[in-house]
Amino acid sequence: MAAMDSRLKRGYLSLIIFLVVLALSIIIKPHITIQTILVVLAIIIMLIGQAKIQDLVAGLILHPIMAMTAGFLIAGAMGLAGGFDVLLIILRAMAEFEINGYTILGYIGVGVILANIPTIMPMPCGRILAAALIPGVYLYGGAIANYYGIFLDPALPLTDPTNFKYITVVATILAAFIVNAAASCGPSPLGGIGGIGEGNMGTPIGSSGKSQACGIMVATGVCALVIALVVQPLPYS
Amino acid sequence: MELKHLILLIVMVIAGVIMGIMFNIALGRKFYESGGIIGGAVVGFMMFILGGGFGV
Repeated sequence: MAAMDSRLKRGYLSLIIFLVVLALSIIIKPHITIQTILVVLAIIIMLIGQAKIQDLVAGLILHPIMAMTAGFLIAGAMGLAGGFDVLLIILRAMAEFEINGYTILGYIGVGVILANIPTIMPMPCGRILAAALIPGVYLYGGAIANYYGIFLDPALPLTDPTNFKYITVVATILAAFIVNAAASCGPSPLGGIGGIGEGNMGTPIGSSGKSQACGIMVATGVCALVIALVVQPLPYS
Repeated sequence: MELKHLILLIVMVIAGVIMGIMFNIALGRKFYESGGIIGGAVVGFMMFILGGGFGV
């Protein structure tokens, strides 16, 4: 129990440092690349989580793009430091927070916020947050399903209606998050693909950010709908 | 706050609410449930503030 407590403490610290540095990067717009910040951040979280580089890359497929690598390293460091356990605790607390017996956000509301975090804190490469937070989003998708009484039964095939409901809920939240993350470099004030477009058109920097953010928000909802309503179980045995 | 900022904020919150309604339906809840709608409105507001806010 004491070991778990100290792991959770390290998890709180690493998650807070990660989110605060990302938010500060958006607000301050430092004159260094975000990848450098993320690598330094990964080293700090590694020290907090007492992790080695071998621990982080074990079992992970690394993409030869620095942003994604940095995101994976962050994910590995946060996983070892207990960051995702803490993230799940915080998300559950947010979902179950109530005033006068009424929950404010509920599990769906928190899921909506979680799926949109990449565009709320837009990085110059959407892969950074996609890679860094996907384990947390996956766990929270399962938490939503469990809250509504849908559980995964390993004894049954994946195409079983109960299991398929669980998979659909997790896939919906995960796909919405991925679409949001993939598009999030558009409105990034740190210089993503949207910034390149603005430069080519000669428009002021950041002039298209808000309209892109609106489009991404609606597209995230459409993606969730498509996954939930169109996807059907595959007829394999 | 200029008028254009106010209009932008309202548009972003409405886009967020529409997205929240779609999430409600996608996750098997009634479309008017408050969780998705409030969550969507919060997302729209946060995107307005963190996405440059009054600067653009």
